[in-house]
Amino acid sequence: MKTNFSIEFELILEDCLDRISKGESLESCLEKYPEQAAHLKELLILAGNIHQLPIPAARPSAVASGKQKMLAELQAVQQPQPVSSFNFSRYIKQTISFLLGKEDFQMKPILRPIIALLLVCVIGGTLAVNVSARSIPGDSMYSFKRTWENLRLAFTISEKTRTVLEEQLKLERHQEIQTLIENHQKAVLQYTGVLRAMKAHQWLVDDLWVKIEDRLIIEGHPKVGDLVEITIETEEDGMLILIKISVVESAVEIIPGEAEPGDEGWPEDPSVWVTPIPYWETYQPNEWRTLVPTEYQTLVPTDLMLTIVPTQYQTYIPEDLNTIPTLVQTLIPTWVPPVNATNWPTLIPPTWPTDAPLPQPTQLPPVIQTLVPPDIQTMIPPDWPDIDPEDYTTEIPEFIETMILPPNWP
Amino acid sequence: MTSNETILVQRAKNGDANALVEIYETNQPTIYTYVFYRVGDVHLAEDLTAEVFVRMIHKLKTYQPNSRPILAWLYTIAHNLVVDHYRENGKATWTELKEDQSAIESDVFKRSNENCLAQIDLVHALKTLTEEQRLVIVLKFIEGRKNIEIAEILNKSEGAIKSLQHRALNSLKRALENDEEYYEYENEFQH
Repeated sequence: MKTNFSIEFELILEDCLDRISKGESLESCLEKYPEQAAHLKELLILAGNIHQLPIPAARPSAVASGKQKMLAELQAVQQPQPVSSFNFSRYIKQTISFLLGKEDFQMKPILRPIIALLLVCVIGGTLAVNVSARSIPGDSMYSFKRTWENLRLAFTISEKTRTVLEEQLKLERHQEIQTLIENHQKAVLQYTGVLRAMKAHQWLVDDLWVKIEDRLIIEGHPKVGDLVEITIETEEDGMLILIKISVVESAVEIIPGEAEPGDEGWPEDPSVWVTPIPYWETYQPNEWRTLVPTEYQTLVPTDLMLTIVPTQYQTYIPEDLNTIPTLVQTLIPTWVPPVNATNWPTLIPPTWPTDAPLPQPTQLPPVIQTLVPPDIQTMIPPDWPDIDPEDYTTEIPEFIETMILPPNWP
Repeated sequence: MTSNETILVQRAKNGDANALVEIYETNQPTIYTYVFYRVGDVHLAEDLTAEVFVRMIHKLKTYQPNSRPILAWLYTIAHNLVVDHYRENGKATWTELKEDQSAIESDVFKRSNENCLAQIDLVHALKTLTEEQRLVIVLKFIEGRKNIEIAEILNKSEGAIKSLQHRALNSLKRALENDEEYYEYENEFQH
C-alpha cells in the first residue's frame, strides 16, 4: 500500500528529473526539497548515471540483414503453399514404401492400380478372416470362413504343410460340431474324413458316428477306407444325421495273401496301408509292451525291442479286409499275461546280445581299497614280488589272500 | 496508438512490404537497445532483434492495433525471445562480459571508457529489475522518452509510470550497494 509520503516523493522525484532534463543543476533541485535531499540525491545521481549509458546501435550491415530477413519471411508467407492434390498413384507408392520399409521404393505407374486392388483385397480379406474365425455353421460369416480355408488348402503346395493344415481344419470342424451340440443348435456342415465303418444304421467317418436315414444321397460307391466328403446335420438332441456322402478318394483294394509290402504295385504311402486296419489291431502292440515285467524291461535294450516288434508289422493286412468289426470294443485284449507265463511272447526272456561286450568293472570295491595301508611298500617281505605301485589297485585282492600280515597291521 | 500507426499496421497486415519496412525502421533501434541491455552481446542482440521482426510477420494477423501500440507488442515478442534464449542456453552473458576486456572495449562502451566498468555494473544491476521496471528505465533514462509515451507503450497511466520509475531506481540502488547480494539474486534468477 502506497503511503502519501511515497506518492509525494514520486512527484518530487519526477519534478527533479524534469528540471534536470531541462538543464537545472542537481544542487538547485536538492535545495528545493531539503527534507528529501539525501535520498533524492542518490536516486538523481543514479538516474544521471543511467542516462550516461550508451545507446547501443546495431551495425548497419546487421540492420540491413535483419530487414532482408523479414522481407524474405514475408515473401515465404505470402507464397501460396502447394496444396496436396489427390494423387492415387503417389498414395499407393507411399503405402507400399511404408509396408516394405523402403523410402526409395520405385514402381511402374501402371502397376499401382493393380497393387492397390490387391491391397484392398488383402487388407479387407484379412479383416474378414479375423472376424469370421470364430463363426460356426449357421453364422453369416461361416461361408467366408470355409472359402478362406479352401483357398488356403488350394494354395498350400507343400504336402507336409497341407497335411498339417488338414489336421488343423479337422480339429476346427470337430470344435464346431461340439459347439453346435452344446448349443443344441440345428445346422448343416460339410466334413471330409475316412469312412471307418458302415453299420446298418450308423456309419463311422473318422471318429464321428453319423446316423443313416432314407434321405441320404450317396455319390459313388463308398466303402470302408475311402476318403469321403459328407454333409451332416446336427440335431437338437446332439445326433448327427448324414445327408449326403460322396467319395473323394477310393481306398486301395488289397487282396490278402497275394501281395506284401515291398511287392510290385504295393503303395509306397504308408498311410494307405493303415486305413483298412480294424481298431483292435491298433490296440495290441502298445498294450502288450506295457505288460513286460519291470526287471525284464530294464534288461532289454531299447533298440532290441524295436527290432523284435517291427513297425511295419503293425500294418499287416487282416485276412478279412472288408469285414466290419461289429464288436469293436470287445475285441480289445483285456487279458493280462502273467509275469511268469511260459507262453510269453518272444520278448521274454530277453537274451543279452551275443556280440555285446560283458560289463567290466573298472575299479575295485571300495572296502578292499580301504584295507591297503598307504605305506604298504615298506611292509612288504623281502621275497615279495616287485610290483609297480601303480598296479596296486588291480592286483591287491590276490595278494591279500596270500599275504602274512605283520602284528602291527591296522 | 495514432491513426497513422493504425493505418500502417493495417497495410502491414495486408502484406504491404513498404509498411513493414517502415515499422522495422521505426522500431528496430528501440528493440535493439532493449534486447542489448537484456543479453549484453552485440551479435546476439542483432540476431535476436532480427528474429523479433521475423516473428512479427507470422504473428501480425493476431495483433489488434487498437489494443496497444505496436512497439509495446514488439517488446513482448522481444521479451519472449530473450526468455526463450536464456531457457535454451541456460545463462546470461553479463557476468562474462564484466570479466571480458574485449567486450568492455567494444564499440558500445568506448565513448565513455573512463567509467565503463561502473557502467557495466549498472547494466548488470538492470537485470535485477522486473520486466516493467527495466522497460521504464530503458525508455525513460536511456532513450529519453517522455512519461506519456511510456504510458502509452506500456498501456499504463502516467502516475503508474512515475511509480514504476521510483521503484526501479530504488531497486537499482539496492542492487549496486551490495554486489554480492546481487550475484546471489542473479543465480537464483537464472535457475
